[in-house]
Amino acid sequence: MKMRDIMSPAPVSLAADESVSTAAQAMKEHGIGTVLVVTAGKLSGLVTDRDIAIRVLAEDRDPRTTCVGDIATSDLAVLGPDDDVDQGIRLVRERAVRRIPVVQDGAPVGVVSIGDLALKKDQGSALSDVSAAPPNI
Amino acid sequence: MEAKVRDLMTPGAIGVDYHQSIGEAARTMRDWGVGSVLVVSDRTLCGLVTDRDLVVRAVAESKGPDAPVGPLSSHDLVGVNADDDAVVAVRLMREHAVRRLPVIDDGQIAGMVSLGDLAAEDDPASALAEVSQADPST
Repeated sequence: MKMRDIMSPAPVSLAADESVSTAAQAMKEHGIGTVLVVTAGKLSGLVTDRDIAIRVLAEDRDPRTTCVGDIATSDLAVLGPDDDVDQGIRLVRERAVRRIPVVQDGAPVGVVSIGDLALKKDQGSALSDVSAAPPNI
Repeated sequence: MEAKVRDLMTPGAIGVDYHQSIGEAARTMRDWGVGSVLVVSDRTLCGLVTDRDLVVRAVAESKGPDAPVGPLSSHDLVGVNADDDAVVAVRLMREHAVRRLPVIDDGQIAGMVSLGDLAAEDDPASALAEVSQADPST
């Protein structure tokens, strides 16, 4: 089983100079907690809903005028579409992250979550059930 | 899994006042390394708000850090008793598709228990258990 088989394809991506408010709207509209940040077609960072809470709201920055590029995490672990599930799990453990972008030639082609990996490995776990449930809005 | 919720919970739940700003709620989450806080009004528990709620219910609606946190909170809270078996908490999380539950002991909020806390008990070697025990992002 490869990443291309279990990843969520067509990840939601924003240009680095778009606003944090735009990122939040995309998270709400698509029911996701992570958006990718792209510079000149290449993955340059990642922003989560928690990042917005901690790096913008907690700092009293205005989400309407703060750019996603200014708060994104840029030191990213990434996977390739042909990497297998065990590699994904190893990377999740090593980096203690719940989601990893899948990249081909520098461009984002998907996101794989710890829930996607758990669904493959352990169909009956509580994590796989909760991960398969719709997000709150 | 025979452990009680009491043994796995994070004791001493953290709360914010209904009238505090979402910026203050976010700072409380940051400073305590948590993803949700209880919302209290006149010493009465009235809801729970997560870091995600701040984003999809406030920032996505063009609100800034000064907006009050209370109106964003979820009111239909599901709790679990401290003396319940851990499997009861797992079942409630499945049924309601939530990752965190307030823990009630003798009518009072005694703590919070997360899906990660339960995974750590069930299978300490699981990836979720490890990720859940890692330091929160800042």
